[in-house]
Amino acid sequence: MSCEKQIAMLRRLQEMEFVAVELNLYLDTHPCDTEAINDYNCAVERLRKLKKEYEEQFGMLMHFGHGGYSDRNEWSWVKGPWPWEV
Amino acid sequence: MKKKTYPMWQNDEDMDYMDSGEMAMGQSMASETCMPMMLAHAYVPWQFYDNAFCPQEALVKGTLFPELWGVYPIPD
Amino acid sequence: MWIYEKKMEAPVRVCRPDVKFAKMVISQYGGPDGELSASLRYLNQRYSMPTDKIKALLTDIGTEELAHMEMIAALVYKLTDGASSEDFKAAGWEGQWTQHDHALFWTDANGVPWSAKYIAALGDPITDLVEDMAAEQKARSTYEHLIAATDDELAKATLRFLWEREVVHFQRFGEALNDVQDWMAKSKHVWCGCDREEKEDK
Repeated sequence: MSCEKQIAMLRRLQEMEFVAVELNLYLDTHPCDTEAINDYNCAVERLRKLKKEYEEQFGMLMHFGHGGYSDRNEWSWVKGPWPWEV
Repeated sequence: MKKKTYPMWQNDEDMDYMDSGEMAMGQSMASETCMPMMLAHAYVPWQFYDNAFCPQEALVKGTLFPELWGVYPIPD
Repeated sequence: MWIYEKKMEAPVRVCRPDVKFAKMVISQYGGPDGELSASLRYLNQRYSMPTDKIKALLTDIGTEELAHMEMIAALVYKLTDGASSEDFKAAGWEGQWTQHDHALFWTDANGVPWSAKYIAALGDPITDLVEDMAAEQKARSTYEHLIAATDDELAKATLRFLWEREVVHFQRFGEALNDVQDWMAKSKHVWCGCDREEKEDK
């Protein structure tokens, strides 16, 4: 059951991060488009919340200090499933 | 320019896209396209961001931008 | 520097294993127009680009292509999930089984290993961006071939996502090309474009 929940949360993360990726690429060639900058920042804000929610339940999403804190008793980074297994 | 609250990709029930008529991006592009096109040079038309799929549809389609979907026939 | 996020860019799903199709999909892993070629090409070219915007674009698209390579790896992983040596033989992929078992490896659909010969970097911004645009078109065409070659609807959906990304990347590189061509015309010390009178005065 928690696997389905994990997949559902990852899906929401994928959706919001994809918005950020698309706007990021667009802004690289349109750096003065303030509307796009605003929308990118909205995506970043939403993404931060989604990542925090995900990591609280399923452990670190990114390594090298970019993800959240590790669980004190268990190094959550090594935990599966890994993305190609999902 | 009035500060916009809702992003164009938002899909909440009370979604409120940007005020119509505010095509600010067009102006920012003017300085980028003032050079005339030269022979033996390739160009693509500039894209302008004034519409967006919602995040769910964007991920399925592979783009946030409706104007970039269907420019090539969708393979089935 | 690169950081890894433990998540695919987009969902990778298959309806059922299909080793024969995996042998075709691997072309987008280690083939000439595959995602490894794309990412290394763009990440390498950015060092010799003249403007910050293009350095950013090549970094970002090059990074996204690594994520696409991961998606192709996941697709092949799922298409060969649980396959035995007999399955590989029946699919005409016994060479892969012999040399790699279930390990992935960078080859094209004919088993030809990946090569840096697939990549060009001439140091001229126009040349290199046009090469990048050609690469995106070749990848788009290859995805069309793959989508037509399967009836697995979930695999098609994954490949269609990757297909559309090539279209978007082509647009971005095109815009970068527009920009760098303007830049080169304006930077007279590099190349003199439309101001013929000035050139004749010298």
